[in-house]
Amino acid sequence: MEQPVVLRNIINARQSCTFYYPRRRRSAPHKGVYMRQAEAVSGGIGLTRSGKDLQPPYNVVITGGTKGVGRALAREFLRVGDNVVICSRDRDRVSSTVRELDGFSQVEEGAGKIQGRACNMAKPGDVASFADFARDSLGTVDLWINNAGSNGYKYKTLTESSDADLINIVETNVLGTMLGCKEAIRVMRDQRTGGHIFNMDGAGADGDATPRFAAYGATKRGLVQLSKSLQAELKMLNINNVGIHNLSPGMVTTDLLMAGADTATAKFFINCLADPPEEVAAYLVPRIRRVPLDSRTLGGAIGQGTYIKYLTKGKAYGQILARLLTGARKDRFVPED
Amino acid sequence: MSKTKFAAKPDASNQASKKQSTRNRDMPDKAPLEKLQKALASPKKALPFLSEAADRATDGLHKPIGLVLASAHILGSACLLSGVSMGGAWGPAAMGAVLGSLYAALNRFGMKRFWRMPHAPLNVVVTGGTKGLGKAIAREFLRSGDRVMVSSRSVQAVRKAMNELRDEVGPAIWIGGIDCDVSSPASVQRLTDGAASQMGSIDVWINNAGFSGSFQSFLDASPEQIQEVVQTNLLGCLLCTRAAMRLMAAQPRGGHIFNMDGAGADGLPTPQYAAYGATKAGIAHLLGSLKAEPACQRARVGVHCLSPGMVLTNLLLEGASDTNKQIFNILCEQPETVAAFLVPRARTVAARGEAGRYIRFLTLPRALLRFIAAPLRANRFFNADGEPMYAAERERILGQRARRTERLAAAAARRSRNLAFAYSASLATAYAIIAADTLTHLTP
Repeated sequence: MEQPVVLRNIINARQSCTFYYPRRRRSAPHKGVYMRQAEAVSGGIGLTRSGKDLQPPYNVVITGGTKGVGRALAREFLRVGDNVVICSRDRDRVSSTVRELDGFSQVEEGAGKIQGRACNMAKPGDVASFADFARDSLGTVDLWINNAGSNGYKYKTLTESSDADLINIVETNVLGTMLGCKEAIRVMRDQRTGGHIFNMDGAGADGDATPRFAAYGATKRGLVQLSKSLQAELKMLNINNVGIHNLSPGMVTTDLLMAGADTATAKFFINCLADPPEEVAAYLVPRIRRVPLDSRTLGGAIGQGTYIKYLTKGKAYGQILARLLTGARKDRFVPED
Repeated sequence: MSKTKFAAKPDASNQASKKQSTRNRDMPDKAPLEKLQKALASPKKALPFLSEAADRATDGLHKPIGLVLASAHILGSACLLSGVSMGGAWGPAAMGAVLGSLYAALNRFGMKRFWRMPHAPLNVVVTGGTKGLGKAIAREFLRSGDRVMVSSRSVQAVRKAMNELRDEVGPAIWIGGIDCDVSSPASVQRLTDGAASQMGSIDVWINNAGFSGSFQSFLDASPEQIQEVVQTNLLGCLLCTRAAMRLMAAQPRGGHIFNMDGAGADGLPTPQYAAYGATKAGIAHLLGSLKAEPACQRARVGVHCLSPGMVLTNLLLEGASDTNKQIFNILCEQPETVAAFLVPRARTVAARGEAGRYIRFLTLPRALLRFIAAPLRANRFFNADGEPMYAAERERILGQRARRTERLAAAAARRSRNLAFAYSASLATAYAIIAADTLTHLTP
């Protein structure tokens, strides 16, 4: 989009100085763009609460960071120099993951630090104390990734699902993410630099039917709607230093997905569309890290969410077509015949 | 949790028969016959019966007459203003009047034919059926002659609702009640077992129990409140659906499950009730996933969605601001009206054995129409200060407002999109014919 010259100058000026008080902006002709910031400044406690001074390295919180995508994300963030806090329900798994990734960051040059703590995301008290722990050990929480999710590691019809599975799926996916968002917003809104929250979507998020994991699909569909509601609420409350975004990892060859590799169709699609968590994380992390920088240049539109997708529709169709024409990716993860 | 279970047998000593509903028409009942016999036996009592019949004949006549006049006016003035009619506006006006009366008659007398009635009374379970929309739905099923089991978390609420429903509908009904917390698997199982043993089978299961957690910011809501919303709405719906599917798959007649959607089901943001919206989005999503399940395909179990739109119940009113209330004036309806729309359609779905239906009361075009007609709806439920203007439930069902409630409910039940479309198309065709006629006369 072509910006007016005045506007561009202002933005450049803003980028060049680290601490910036918007005196000139008030007399700028494009007042509307900065209206919200000006309000925030005048209504605040003398500090710019706009989240624009967020600079790498970031302090990152990843829920459910001991397995699969969460763990790969943690490793990738560490590699590029960010500090990471992870959690999981299982205390032993947290400590072993932290030990392992700590070993990795000792070896790697310029890598960040990792810490962890056991936390059940479906328990309100747990989540609050985990958020406090993260803030205290990191100083600020810049990025919070609600990654913890479950489908009970089973692919069954609803009638065959057990009580424990349904409760686990609903509580981990929906309640866990809601409480995560709530606590993250609580911590971030008091930070001068604000922060960004990312919710993991999953199959069903786009509204497509998810037979064999109906409950999981329903929870993920709900989460996409939740992100929109929270964006709208933050706008209403004039909290413009917290951003809510979605991450779509596509199909990842984790336990969560591989538990369903028992039918011919499932095997076809897993081979065709899935990718290992490391690849997905390597794609997502630079894009996540760009979000604070982008919201700095986009004229204060921090309340608007980004949706970072690894497996887009076009990419998926392309891979299916390639598979059908050339047989690419056959038997990649699971033998098909 | 207490183990109270109680089923009601038709209670002959109940004296509510005087207040027997005038809307028992779906039931092959003997009520009019009995009344006639009574009237003949004691001429003094004939007077109220006759006046009731007269009421029924004239009730809601303003709508058909309005349709005739409006059609005449629309077609007449359209032709006059565009100058297409050679012989003045009277011809087209008469044509409009004929069309209007045709469709008014169709709507009033023809609509009932479109409903397929089940062969036998249905056995219905309504969760959260002790107040608000759930109670209205239970009442509507009872009036249609079905057997209904209501459930709610508290035993007192169940007992109270059963007594009230018996008062409102009449003594000759079968109503049962079991207390059930839908978010607890054991409790849901107890409801399923109890309902199946008391009613024999379950044909229709309405997942109506829901919790909104009051109208407030997500940041102000307590974690416990959010927890309750998620557990009641989404987990409760999943557990009940699963229990009902298991049971119905084993029944020779199958069965039908109806989930209630709500704001957020379409994926649009719901600020101030974020948790509620997210759970409802999930519930609406279930419809597609469950259609593919073997229980639905082989065993004739239907999973459906009911969309009640905005209903004037506690769930909606908790924490509502004055601005909200002005919107409620425009979009809201009383639970009786919405139930009168939903229940005949749900019964038709059950009678036809359809699968995966989405029955919507407040569609987007209807909501838009209501906003256009907003001035007519001012002060309908709340005045400018946000004070409620509507009568209490008992007053609406049994008191002075009963006739108005009946009229609104009958109109809602008769609503038909096909008929509305056919009517608009007929008017447009009539105009086109007149215009074509004029043009052929102008160019010889």
